[in-house]
Amino acid sequence: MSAAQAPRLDPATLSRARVAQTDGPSDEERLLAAEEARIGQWRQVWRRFRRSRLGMTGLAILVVLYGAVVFAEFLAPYHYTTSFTEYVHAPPQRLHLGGAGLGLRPYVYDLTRGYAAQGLLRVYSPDTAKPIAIHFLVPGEPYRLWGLIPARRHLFGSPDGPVALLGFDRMGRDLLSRTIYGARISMTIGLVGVVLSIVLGAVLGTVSGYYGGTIDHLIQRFIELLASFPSIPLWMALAAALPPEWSSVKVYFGITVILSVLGWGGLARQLRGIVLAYREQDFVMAARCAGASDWHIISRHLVPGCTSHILVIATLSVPGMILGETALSFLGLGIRAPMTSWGVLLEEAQHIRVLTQYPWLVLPAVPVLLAVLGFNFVGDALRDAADPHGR
Amino acid sequence: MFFHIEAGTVRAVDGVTLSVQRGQAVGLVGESGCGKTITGMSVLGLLQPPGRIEGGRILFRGRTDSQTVDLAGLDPRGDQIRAIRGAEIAIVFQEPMTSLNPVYTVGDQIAEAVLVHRRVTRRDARDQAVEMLQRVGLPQPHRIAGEYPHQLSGGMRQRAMIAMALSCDPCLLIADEPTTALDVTVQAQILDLIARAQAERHMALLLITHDLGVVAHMAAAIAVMYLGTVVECGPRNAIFSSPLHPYTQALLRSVPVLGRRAKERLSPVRGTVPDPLAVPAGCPFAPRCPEQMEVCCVRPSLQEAEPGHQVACWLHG
Repeated sequence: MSAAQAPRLDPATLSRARVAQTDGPSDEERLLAAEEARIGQWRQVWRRFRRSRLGMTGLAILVVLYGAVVFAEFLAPYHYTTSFTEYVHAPPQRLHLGGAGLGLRPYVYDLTRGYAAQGLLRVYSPDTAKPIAIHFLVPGEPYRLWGLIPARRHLFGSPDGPVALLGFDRMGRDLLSRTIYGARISMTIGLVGVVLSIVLGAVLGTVSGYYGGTIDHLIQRFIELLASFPSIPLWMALAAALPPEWSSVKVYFGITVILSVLGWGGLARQLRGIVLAYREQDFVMAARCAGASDWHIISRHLVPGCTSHILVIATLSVPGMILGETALSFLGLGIRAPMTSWGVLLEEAQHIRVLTQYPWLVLPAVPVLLAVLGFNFVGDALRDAADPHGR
Repeated sequence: MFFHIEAGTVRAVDGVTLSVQRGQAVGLVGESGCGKTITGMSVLGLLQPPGRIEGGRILFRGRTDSQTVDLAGLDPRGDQIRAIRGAEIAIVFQEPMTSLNPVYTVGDQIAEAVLVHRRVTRRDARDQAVEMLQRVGLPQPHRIAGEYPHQLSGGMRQRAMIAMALSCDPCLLIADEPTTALDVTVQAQILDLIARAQAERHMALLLITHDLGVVAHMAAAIAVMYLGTVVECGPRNAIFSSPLHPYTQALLRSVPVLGRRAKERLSPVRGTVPDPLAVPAGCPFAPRCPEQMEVCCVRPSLQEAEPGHQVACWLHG
């Protein structure tokens, strides 16, 4: 460029003034931020979760219920098949405290059987002459904890006679023990089922959202097809297809598979929506610009981004599974005797005659209610706590 | 490097001829929507569907010993282009806020970029991430590597993005409006950082911006884009002191300059950008051009007006 051409604009005047380091927040803010970073994402989620009273209530319920799942043999006074033939359909024994010469030890009265209505009705009345003292950590029926550790101590029980705080069923079995053992099936079938549907739903939902187009279309229409079947007849059809000679464990897994195969659609839908939103994020484009493969983007960016959502959806769909199992077993198509689940127990309370005469047989509905509420509370609180953008 | 692209039914970019030499910084300037970003993205083969490269060539020669490849001819989902993205050609985006994944720490994300292209252990990648953070001038890189994006300021995040872009030692860095989203006080620092990195590594730099101040500061050569075509390109001083294309002249008149007399008013470019669906058949700038002639209904091509200074205008054809 010659000097004769007077520059119209000098590049130097256009370039910006350099400013001293005023980059970013103050030191204190940085320290606070660093403090939070050390805590980590899940610790932060937990901290926010703890603030939710309902969430903590739900968590407490679930801890108690899963405690029953883990220590069923110890918590239940009897095995779920132990029957007391003298006590068929006997009502719950009332718990007494103090008196009967037992000091402060709680006790129940033994029941004596009588007949009413010309011998057509069995009636039980407490025999105040025979108090049964309840002992804690009492040696009772031998069992193997988790099928491994031989033991015979139960949380409570009595060497003097049968104790059934929730009454007896039609074969004279302790309803409380059966409810505790039933938790094993009912509470785990939800978890196992949800894990299966998450695997199905997460893979198909993510693929559907990420690739879009024809793949998305096919998967979505298939989900609609599944959702448009009336669920109970479909369950029944599938459950009826389980071979009758299958062992109870196989039936258990069969039911789980049925529930999750029919239940993944909603989860896949929700994940697809989330993935659709994530796919448009700049960091996905940035990853692509850095040469990341589709699989890398799905596995490292989309799925982890959805983890909190997956967790919430999973928590909220466990109750559906539990209710599904209960419904199936209630209809006599689910878990079969001698295994027991809450649905199996409720099946016995199907008839109005049973309900009017032995109302305590409906009590297994209470843990179902608690479990469903617990999972819903926890899921709601988790949703509020786990949103990575919520802060 | 050399490209010549046409894309889509709406010809967002049509006839961009541009070359960036090793160790050279080229500024690509133009109004919003003139196709600057699309030009940058098509180099990486990352046009969003339904956008596609209809024709043309994008020639790229990576490391000195490797062969020249036509990026426009590669399968945009293939392994070959993936090996180039990030490793040989890296890009820095406008938005440092959203270009980092909020659920990973900054260090993890940079390490991840290294792991995609290099066969190194996770620990080595992590060490390299910390080293990169230090090189882009972040204080206490060890701590920052463990922080999440939301804990950093915009400037720090953009530094982290630059660290990630530089982590695989690319030969071409595309900076797409790298400072637009930042505080004015931070902009100069980031530009400085990019300029230093470019000089140190003898990288080619394609700086996409609408800010004439930025290119004046950074680029040795400038290409001016209007409505999907390059209308003028040449050395920085030539463009600023003796712009040949009426559009470039109008653009420079619209920029405030310190020291110019207050009475002189800024003159915006007359008229508006035409609808991309109805691009004029001839020179795209003709409807807004103060010096429109009969011949302007025929599209001019880039011609060398002075040595190294090309312009697509009949005034100089």
